[in-house]
Amino acid sequence: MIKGIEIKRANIAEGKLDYLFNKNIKPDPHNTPRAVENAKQMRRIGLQDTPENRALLRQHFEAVVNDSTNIIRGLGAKTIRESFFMGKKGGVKFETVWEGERLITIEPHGGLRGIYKPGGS
Amino acid sequence: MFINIANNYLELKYHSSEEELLLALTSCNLGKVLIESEEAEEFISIQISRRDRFDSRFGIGIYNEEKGIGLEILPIPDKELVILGVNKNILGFELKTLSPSFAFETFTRFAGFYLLDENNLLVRDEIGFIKLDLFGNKKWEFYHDLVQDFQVMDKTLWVTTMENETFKLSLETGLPF
Repeated sequence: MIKGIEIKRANIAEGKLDYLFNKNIKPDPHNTPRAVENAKQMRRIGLQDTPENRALLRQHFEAVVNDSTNIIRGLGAKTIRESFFMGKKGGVKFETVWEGERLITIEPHGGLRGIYKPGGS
Repeated sequence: MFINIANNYLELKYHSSEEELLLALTSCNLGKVLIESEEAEEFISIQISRRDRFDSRFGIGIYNEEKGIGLEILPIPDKELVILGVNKNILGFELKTLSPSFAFETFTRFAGFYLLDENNLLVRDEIGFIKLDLFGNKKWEFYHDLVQDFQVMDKTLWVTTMENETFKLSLETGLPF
C-alpha cells in the first residue's frame, strides 16, 4: 500500500454523460444546440453512446480530477480542467468544470484535424 | 442586416472567412474591437454608426464558436446602449459615444440575457447567473450546475438545474433563501 496518495472519487452524474451524447436533454435555447455540438464531437472521434464508452469516459474523468496539473482556471471552489481523450477515429480536448470532485459541465473542443494544442482554447 | 436602435444604425454581416471579416472592418474609422476565438465557425461584423453620421463607424468583429446559444444582441434604446454576448464574452457598447463601455468574460459559456429592470440585467452562463448593472458592474454571481430552467418572479430568481435541483435566490443579493 502506498501511503500519502489520496485518490479522489469523482462524482459524475449520469446526466453529464447524457449531455455529452445529447440524450434526454430538455429543449432549451442554449442547452439543446450545446448538446447537439457535444454529440457531433463524440461522433467525430468515433465514440458511440454505449455502456462501455460511458465507462471509458467515467474512467477518463476520474483520472482528470486526480491530476493536480491540469487546472487552467479557477473561481472560488470551482475549477476548469483540461484533458485529452482519444477515440477510435480521433481525439478531443475536454474542458471540464468541477466543484471539488463534482463534475458540473463538459465542453469538448477540437476541429476536423483533431489537433491538440496545450494551453490553447 | 440593418438594425435601427435609437439614433444609430447597426449593420450586421456574416462573412465566410476571417480575412473577409477583417477586410469589412477596415472601413471602420472610429476603431474596432475583435472578439476572437481559435475555434470560430462563423465570422460576423457589426458596424455601428450614428444615423446622421453614416461615414463615422465603429466595428465589432466576432468569431462565433457556435456552441450553444450563439450571438445575442440586447438593445437598450433609452440608455443608448447595446450589450452583446457570444462564446464566453460580454461586451457593452455605448451608442452615444460610439465606443465600448465594458467587457468581461463569463466563467462558462454565455447562455442568454434577461433584462430585470431599467438598470440591471441577468447574464446567464451555462452553470449560473451574473447580475450586472448597465455599466457592467457585477452585483453578484451564482454558479452551481447546468441550468435547465429559470424564472424571475417579484424579487426572486428560481433556478432549476439539469440534476433537478431547485434554488430560490434573492435578486437583490444572489443568495439562496
